[in-house]
Amino acid sequence: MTADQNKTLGELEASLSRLPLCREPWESYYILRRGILPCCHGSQPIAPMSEWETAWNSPKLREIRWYLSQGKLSPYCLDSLSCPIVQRILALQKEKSPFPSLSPQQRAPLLRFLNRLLFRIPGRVYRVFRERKGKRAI
Amino acid sequence: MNTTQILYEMGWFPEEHDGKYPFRWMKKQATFSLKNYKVKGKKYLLITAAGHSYPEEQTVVLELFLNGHKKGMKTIDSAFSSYAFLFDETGDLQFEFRLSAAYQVPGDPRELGIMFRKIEILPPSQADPFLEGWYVCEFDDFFPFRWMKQTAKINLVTFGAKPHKYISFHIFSEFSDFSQKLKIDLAGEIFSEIPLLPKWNFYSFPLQPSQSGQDEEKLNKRGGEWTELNLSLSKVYPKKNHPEDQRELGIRVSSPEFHDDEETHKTSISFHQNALLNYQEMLEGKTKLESFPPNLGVDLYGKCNIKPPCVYCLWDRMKALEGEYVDTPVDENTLAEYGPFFRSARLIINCSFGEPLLHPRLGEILDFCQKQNKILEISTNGQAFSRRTIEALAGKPIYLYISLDAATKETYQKIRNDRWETILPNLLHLNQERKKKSNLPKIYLVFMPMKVNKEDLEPYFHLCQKVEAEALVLRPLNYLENPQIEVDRAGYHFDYEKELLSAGELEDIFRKCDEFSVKYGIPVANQFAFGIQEEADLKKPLTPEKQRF
Repeated sequence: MTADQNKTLGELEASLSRLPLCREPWESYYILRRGILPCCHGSQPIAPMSEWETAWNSPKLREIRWYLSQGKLSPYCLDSLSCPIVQRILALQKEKSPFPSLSPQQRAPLLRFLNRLLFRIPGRVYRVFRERKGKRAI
Repeated sequence: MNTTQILYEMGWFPEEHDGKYPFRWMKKQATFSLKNYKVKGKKYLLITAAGHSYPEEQTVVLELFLNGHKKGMKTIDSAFSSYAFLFDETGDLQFEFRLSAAYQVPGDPRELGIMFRKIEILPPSQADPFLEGWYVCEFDDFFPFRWMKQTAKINLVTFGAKPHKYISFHIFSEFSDFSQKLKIDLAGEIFSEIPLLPKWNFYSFPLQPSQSGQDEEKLNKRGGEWTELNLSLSKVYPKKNHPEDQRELGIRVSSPEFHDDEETHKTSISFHQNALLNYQEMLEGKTKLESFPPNLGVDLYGKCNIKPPCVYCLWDRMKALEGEYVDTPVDENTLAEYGPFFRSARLIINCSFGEPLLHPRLGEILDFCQKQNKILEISTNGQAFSRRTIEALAGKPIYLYISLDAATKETYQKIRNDRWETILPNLLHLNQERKKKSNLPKIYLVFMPMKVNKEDLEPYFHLCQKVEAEALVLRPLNYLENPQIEVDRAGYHFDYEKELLSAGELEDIFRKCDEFSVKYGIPVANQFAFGIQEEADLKKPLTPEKQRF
């Protein structure tokens, strides 16, 4: 490591205001019989054990990193409910929510109902938009 | 030459004793002499000294004069540490110490300068390798270590290092952002200047100029100066982060070792470069990485000795998920096959659904990881401690997490089985054996608070105290949506969903943990704080490692 590289690192830190929401998908990697996990709280494997070489930069893991680098939880993270970070964020969202007594799982049908009643935006339009946004980012 | 030949003259108070070591105060100025000193060549005047409660903004500087000529000056710390002055005079030697300040303490009429525990004059070959800038050796962490101040010197002659190419250490930096840099120079030439990685890491530094682009001739010319290695840090740990310890604390350093192994050195360099690149890529928010992760999770063994499984274990679901890989063997060869993933890892974390201590090649795996300078994290159910496994574990750099979750036979059999009676004797045996081998592995007793074991919390602290555990680890029972796990065991109906504690109940557990932690002197590593651990580390700099999960 040269002095120039050190300087770059220092400058980089100074210019960046935010670390990712969670560092695990950069700092950790789990090669397990049950599959490859990006963190110890991962809900589902992102690839089978034999794909350990390629899963590190797979689209799935890159998507998780992208969301976290934007300060957001990825859909994968949101499915990993045993993660204390996810739990903390969901608890905060619940506090701020207009329906604090409803869990995100309970809230979705209510929002779908309100959408149908007021806006009538087809669900597939929302899903396509969301997927494209994720793909564009990585 | 030992201290008895030193003639204390003016400026000294009589010898005192602090209960552990003798020492004597000097006044603002003091002298001592040596008559007819015949040892030729370079020698060190080595002192172990400390100041006292100076006003914080002031420092005390000690100047040394030999036969009227100034030989050097040192800033004296308030804690005992070593200082070295180099000289080559012989014959009748008159030494004089001059201090920049002396103080009077209430109730003591004396004007007190600094305390001397030891004054020695030794040739480099006999001098302490930790010349100056070091505090005394401590043993309460992963490796026996010394705190280094901002600058320090190592006496290479004592180590017989001259013929070797590399010097290696384990170094612990308190900074998690790579902002602390270490510079190493030998005879005025900078050999290395590197940002330090967070926590304990292995480093190998070149001692040969050829490594820094110089030639052999230059090395030979410098032979006579090959005595001191100078280390300096870009910054020390801020005192406000360790108010309980007012020493100047830079980094923790294990005893240095010397080697000629190119491969070890190259591995250390690439490991370091990868860790930096990984951090840089994370800061940049890169999603496609050129670097490899510093933590590697592995799955050492897929079979367990607790049958039926522990009440909360997701055994059947996980074994179904493992599918065709359920019997895939994983051993030291598999780890080596992981190539850059293994080489770049600092921590190897076992996450198997199975008991890792049952692995038939446990000894070989642990030896291999130790040789590769890896630190292991292993979770065990505590029912696989045998002569073989304890022998394999003792002396290895391992964080051993022992999941008991209970402190009484009654609770234990509701969660696991009726083998409680064997647990404590085995843990005591493990503790005895590790004491013979550098107090390794580090033992952490894991407690997952649930309805079934809430009442066992205080006795669990007591258990930790008995087995001299490093800490009690508070681990969350995984939150599962609609878990549908209900088990009847030892007359208790375990319903996973109902065992999860509410936020209020958990707050109560955390509050009790704080209270019992003080009462029993057992630190608590709270894994409910996963993700905000880095922040916590900064507030508690003197805790050992990041508790991962």
